[in-house]
Amino acid sequence: MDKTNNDLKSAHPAREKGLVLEAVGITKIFPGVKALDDVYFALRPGEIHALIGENGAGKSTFIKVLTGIHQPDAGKIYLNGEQVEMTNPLVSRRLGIAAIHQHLAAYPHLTVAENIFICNEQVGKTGFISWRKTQQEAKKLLASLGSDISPGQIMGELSVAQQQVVEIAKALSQDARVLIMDEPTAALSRKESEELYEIVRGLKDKGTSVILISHRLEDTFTLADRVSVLRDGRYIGTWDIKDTNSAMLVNYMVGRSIDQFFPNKTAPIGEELLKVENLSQTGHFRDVSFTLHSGEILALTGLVGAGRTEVVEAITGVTRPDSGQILLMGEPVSFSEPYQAIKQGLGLLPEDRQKQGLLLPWSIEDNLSLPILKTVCSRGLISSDKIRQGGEEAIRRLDIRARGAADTAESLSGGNQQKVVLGKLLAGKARIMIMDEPTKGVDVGSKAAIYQIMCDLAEQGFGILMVSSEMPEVLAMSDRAVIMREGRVSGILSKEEYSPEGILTLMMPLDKKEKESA
Amino acid sequence: MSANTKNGLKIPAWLKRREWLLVVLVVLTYLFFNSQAPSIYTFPKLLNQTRVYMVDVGFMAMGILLVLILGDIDISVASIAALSATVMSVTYNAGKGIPFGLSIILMLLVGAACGLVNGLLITKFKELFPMIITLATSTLYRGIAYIILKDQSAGSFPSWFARDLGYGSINILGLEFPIMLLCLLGFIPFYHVWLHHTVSGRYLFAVGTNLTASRYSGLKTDRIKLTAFVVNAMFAAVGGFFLTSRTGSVKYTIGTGFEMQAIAVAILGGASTSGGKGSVPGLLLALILLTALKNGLMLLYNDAFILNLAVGLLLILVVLIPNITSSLNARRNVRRQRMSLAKT
Amino acid sequence: MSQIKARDSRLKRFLRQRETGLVLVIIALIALVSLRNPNFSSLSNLQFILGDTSIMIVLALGMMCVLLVGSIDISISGIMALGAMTAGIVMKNNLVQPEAADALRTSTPLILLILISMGVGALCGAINGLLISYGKVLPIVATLGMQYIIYGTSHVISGGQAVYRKDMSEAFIQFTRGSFLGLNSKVWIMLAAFIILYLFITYTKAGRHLYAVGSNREAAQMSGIKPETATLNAHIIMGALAGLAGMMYASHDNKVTQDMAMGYEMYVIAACVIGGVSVTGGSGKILGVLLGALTIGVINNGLTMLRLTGNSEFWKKAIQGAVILIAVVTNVLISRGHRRRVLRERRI
Repeated sequence: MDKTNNDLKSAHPAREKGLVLEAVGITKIFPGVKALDDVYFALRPGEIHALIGENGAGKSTFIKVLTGIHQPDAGKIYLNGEQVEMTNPLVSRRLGIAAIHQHLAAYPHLTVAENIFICNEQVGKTGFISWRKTQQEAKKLLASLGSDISPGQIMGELSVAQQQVVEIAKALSQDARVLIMDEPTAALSRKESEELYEIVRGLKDKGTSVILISHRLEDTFTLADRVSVLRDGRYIGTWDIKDTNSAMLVNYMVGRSIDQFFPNKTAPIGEELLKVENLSQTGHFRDVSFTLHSGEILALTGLVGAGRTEVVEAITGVTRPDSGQILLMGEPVSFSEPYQAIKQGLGLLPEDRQKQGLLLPWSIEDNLSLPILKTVCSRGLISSDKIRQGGEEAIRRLDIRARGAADTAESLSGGNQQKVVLGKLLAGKARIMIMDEPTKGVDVGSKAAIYQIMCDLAEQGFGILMVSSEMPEVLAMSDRAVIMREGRVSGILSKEEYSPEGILTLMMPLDKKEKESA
Repeated sequence: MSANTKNGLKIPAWLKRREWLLVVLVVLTYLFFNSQAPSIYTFPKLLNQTRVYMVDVGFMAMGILLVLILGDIDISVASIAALSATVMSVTYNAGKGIPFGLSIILMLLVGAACGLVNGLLITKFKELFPMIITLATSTLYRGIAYIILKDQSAGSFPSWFARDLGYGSINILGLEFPIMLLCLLGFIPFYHVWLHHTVSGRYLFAVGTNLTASRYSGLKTDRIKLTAFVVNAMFAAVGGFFLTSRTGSVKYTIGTGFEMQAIAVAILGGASTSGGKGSVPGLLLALILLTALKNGLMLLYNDAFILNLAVGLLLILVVLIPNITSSLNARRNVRRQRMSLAKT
Repeated sequence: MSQIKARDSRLKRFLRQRETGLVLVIIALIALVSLRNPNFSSLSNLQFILGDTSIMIVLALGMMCVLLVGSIDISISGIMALGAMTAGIVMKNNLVQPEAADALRTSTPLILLILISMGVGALCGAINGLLISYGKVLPIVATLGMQYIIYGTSHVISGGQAVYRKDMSEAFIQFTRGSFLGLNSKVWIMLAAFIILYLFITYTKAGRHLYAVGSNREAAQMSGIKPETATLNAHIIMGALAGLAGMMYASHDNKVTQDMAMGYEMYVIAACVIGGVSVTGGSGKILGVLLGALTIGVINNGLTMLRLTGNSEFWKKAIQGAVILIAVVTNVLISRGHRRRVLRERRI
């Protein structure tokens, strides 16, 4: 692996002149993790430059450094050849850098128009904010995106896709020289995506440089002129798009070829464990049905906002479905609280491990013992020896990288945190594992380890429902895939029917015309 | 986080606990007032004054600690104390009503009922902050006490309650320990073991640290919250019991403002309104500190406002100082990491 | 087609507004109490209620700013006392006793006194804000501690002496007793504060940033808004308004004591919650706050006028608590209904 790395390093271009933006040696340290390690990036005028990498490769952190949200611990940023200090987001904006961030950036309580123009307020002659102007400008911008969202609507009441359109409008409103788009198409329909592509090309023609971050390699290939790859916080290289192909890029992103990366799943598929029938929840999903068998890994996939997480939350008692049935080994069950589901052998690995999976300030061993606290007592009192034993054993079994079981969960890297959450699940008596984005924000090494654990579990007769938005993961790991689109199941494919294009088509929201004909 | 300092000296974790700050403050407070008024500010006299400053607030603080560990707050505890004490005195009715033992049980039940109402409202209406809910129930409970008692005061209790418990003391090793104080001190070890060494105690800390993660881990978060509010209210009722015993009579205004004092004690002792933190030794030390401080200020100034001013200052400083030092520490850590980066 | 639909739902939307609901509640309450005591709905009594509630409204306006950024201030009654006490002492020391018996007492100009009180209030608010935004002390803890400190300070500077009517200038006594167009001067002061705050919160960047910070702190930081500054601003506004309210309270009561207005903060917070301000920050309308405070004012006044039992005083407190409880719970049920409706309108 080291050898390939060296080869790649020599591949990145020598420093060239006339760059719009150049970042050299960017390093960013978070407690316990090096999120960025000596990253290089160069942006030419009027180019569309894709920045790709796995979840957790450091793309978003890098963007936050460029936009002044994070200050790098080392490294320099040059804008048109001059060194700049991005001390805060306003500086970066003043220098002509605009960004569409993922999710984070919306103000749910405010109107669409205000969301677009926050910090860029449309001021009248008197120095006061002119709401009429704000509304008009917002309407114009939204119309240019082909959207009919009303500027007066409350942001929090929009769908995820609509919110994304508003975020795009917000970035366009700034007339930036450098436009950064972090997953702009994550929730868009094909038509909306194409409209966005048109706008981006138009901007390029006007001389704007665009940094595009996208999951979908097809975005990269249709739009980008060049592509840079990050892996585990490190810079891998930059290539002209015409010199690459998708297999190459995946290889660079993962650091080894796909078949080495994903373990071979051999577990036979057994009896039915979980059956979901016509499950519905108002405003979130409708008529969701599927079955999960022992030894099976069933993928539940779809775009952001398709309702995947809502479905698994309704199954595990986090929320309540409004109608439909859940059958556990043929017995109808209904849970109003997660503890009931856990008692019945349903384990949930939640999507957001920091908020839903771990008690961050607690030690690894205390986190691991929380679900089984009653079993680590002696004479009614908690035994710290038993907790220590259990913690050390889990650290060994799951290969958690820490100085010891007494380390706090927040000091661990993303991958090791995820292993602790997995350890909590394995300590229980679950037979069905529901894993919501099990490898989100996890380094490549831990990813492979988590895949191996999943295969081992399937071997032992567990049924695994894996919620995932990573196409390679779905293709390689699962036996069957349930694909969701806008709250409904749009298809269930078995392994033989898999093709990236086919799955993507089922995931993409329908455009208006298609909807009306449907 | 790391226990290593730069010169390689290792400070054991138990020495880094914030309780030591409180110990130092207690000693300093005692020495200061003792030098100011050597004849009236002495240990035996301080011990005698614990009945005024320590016991009733102490029980309320023990209850409120549970709620604070959960990350919630309850400002109705003083009203609960007033209402349950009212019920106790009215049902006993100077010996003409039910036996005193039954009145005490009734008092505890009323406390529990108040806590149940708080807890149910808080778990059923999660959108509302406990602060708002208990604010309203606080007015409600004291209002009910007002309806029952009007502006009368109810007195005449059995002599063991008003005299022995209220003013009696026991001589241990030549020191006069108020019976009330012994009740508090006798109870605290059990409370400590329960909170820090049992499953249900640890559940409180888990829920307060991260409610969602605890729920996903299979904890019955709603039931835990409900129970904590009920137990808290019963502690408040016990606080009202001791308060009545020392004042000898009940008015509907009894214990006004004690909720803030109880919250202040718990926070001084290491709890945080954002939850997940709190310790029983810290609580005890905070109680001792406040007793020493209040008694001294009372002797020097005889003024409740100055006393409160000192409590307020103490409260803010004890919370602010660790915040500032930890943010300075974090900054130093980053700088160190950066320096080690520059070397490589 | 969608335009017709939009116009059609405008009436519905108007009816669904919380402000409309609150107005209806207030009217219903007035009607209900009037059934028992017709004097209640007399013009003079309504004017009285409005004047009486003005102080609470002024405070609620400030509290709204603080709640919007996701903070809270429970030290406002202390600030009222300290502001009024400082101004009161200045007034007392500069008092000129007239030689003629019928001449009026004069002292420091009223406007200066008000500015002193508001300045002291703003200073206290700034300390609160600094503790919360830069000291990272939780708002409840910081303002709880400050409550003790501020009351104590007011006691220390006054030397334990209250300021009584005899120490007050005539201008100060008349400050809350004048009337213009049939409305008490307190109402005019409140209206002025209302309009200024309305303009601030709707048409200035600093005002909108209060909403932004409360709505999504992280996003605000990412767009370059400093949450610390917004929090500090909100607390300074709260403090200054508390200083103003303290002067109104003192003039109305004809005295300034050290424990003035104790416990008042609770009503103010309740008024904001009933008026639709989210305690977690980010949402709340200024008109709602005004109506929320009026609702509490009507309830308080109505309970006295009801004479439920021989002497309603005994019942008043409990009913107040119950009514506030019912109000906030209804509030939650309404917003749950609204959420459900939004979900149902999503097409899936």
